[in-house]
Amino acid sequence: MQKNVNWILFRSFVIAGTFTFAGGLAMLPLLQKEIVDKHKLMNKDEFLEDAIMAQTLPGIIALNSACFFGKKSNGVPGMLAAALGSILPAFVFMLLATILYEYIPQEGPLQMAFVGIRASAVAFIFAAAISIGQHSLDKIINWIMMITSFLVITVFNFQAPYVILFAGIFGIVYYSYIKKDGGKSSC
Amino acid sequence: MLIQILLAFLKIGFLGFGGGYAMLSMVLDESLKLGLTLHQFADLNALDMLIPGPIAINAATYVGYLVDGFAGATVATAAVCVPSFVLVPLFIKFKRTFAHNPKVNQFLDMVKPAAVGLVASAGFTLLLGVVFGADTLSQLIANPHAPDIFTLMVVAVCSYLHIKKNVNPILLTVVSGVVGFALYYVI
Repeated sequence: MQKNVNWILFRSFVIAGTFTFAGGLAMLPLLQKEIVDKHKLMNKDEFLEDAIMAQTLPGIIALNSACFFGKKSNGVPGMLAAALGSILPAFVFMLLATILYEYIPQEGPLQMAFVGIRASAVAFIFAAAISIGQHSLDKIINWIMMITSFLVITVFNFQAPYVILFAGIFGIVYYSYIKKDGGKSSC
Repeated sequence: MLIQILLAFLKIGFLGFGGGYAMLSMVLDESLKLGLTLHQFADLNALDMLIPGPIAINAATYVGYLVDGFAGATVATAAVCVPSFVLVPLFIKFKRTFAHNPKVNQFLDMVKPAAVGLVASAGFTLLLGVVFGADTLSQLIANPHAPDIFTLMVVAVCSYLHIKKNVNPILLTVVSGVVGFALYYVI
C-alpha cells in the first residue's frame, strides 16, 4: 500500500516546523532524515542542491525549501502540502501567543528552557552547513570562496545578497577567463 | 488597512535575502509604518524566541494581528509566503531551461560554496548570541566577556551528538529545553 506522498510531506514539515526554533536552516537535518533517508522522496544530491537554492533565493528559507522539496517530490500538490505544513505551526502558535501574550511569563524556567533550545539549534545549523558543504566543497577554490564569504559576513557584516551576487560574478569571471576550461555543467 | 499589510509583507517577502534575521530590519521599518511601536517590535523579538517556525511568519502573524486582528494576521502571513510560491517554481523551470548554459552554471558553481559560508555564518551568529550575548563579532571584540557555560556546553554536546552520533534533532531540542528548565531551579 503506497502511503500518500502529500501526507508524508505535510507531516514532515509540520514536525520540522514545530520543533525548529532557529529558522529554516536548523530544520534541514531533520528534513533530510525524513525526505531522503526514510521515505526516499528525493535523492541526497538533489536535496542538497535545492537546500542551497532555498537559502539563496529571497523569502522565507523554510518555505522555499518546502516548495522545492514538495514540488520535486510530487508536483504542485506536493508543493502545497509541504508549504502548508511549514506555515501552519508557526501561524497557529504565533497567533495564540500574540493573543495570550500578557499571560506568558517573561522570566523564569521557561526562559531558560528556550535558551537551551536555541543553543541546541546552533548544532543543527552547523550540521546543515556541513551537509551542503560536503556536496559542494570539492575544490580548493570552493573552500576559499566558502571561507571568504563566511569571513566577510561575520567580520565585515556584508549583506547576504551582495555576497551571493559577487560570488556568482566571480564564478563567471573565474571559469571564463582564469580557468579557461569553459563552463562546468552542474546539472 | 489590509491592503497596506498585504503590500508591506509582499515587499518583505520578495526583498528578504539572507533569511529571517536579515529580514528583520525591513520588518521593523514596515511595522512602524503600519503603526506599531518600538516596544511592540521588541516584544515580537521576545515572542519569536519562544515560538517555533520561521521568523518571517511569526513576524507577519504578530504584526498583522496587532494591526487588524485575525484578518490582518492571515493577510500578512499569506503575503509573506507568496514570493516562495512564485519564485521557487519559476526557478525550477528556469533551471531546466538554462541547465546547459555555461554562464549560468559558472555563476551557480561559485554561489554554492558561498551559500555554505552563509549558513556557517548564520550558525556562528546564533552561537555568538546564545553563548556570548553578542550580536556581531566586532561587538564581542569591543566588549569581551566570558561565555555562558550552560549554552556553551549545550552547543558542544549537541554538535557532537548530532553530527558525529546522528542523534535525532527533536530529541536533542527537547532535552536541551528540559535541562534549561531544570537548571533554573539549580542555579
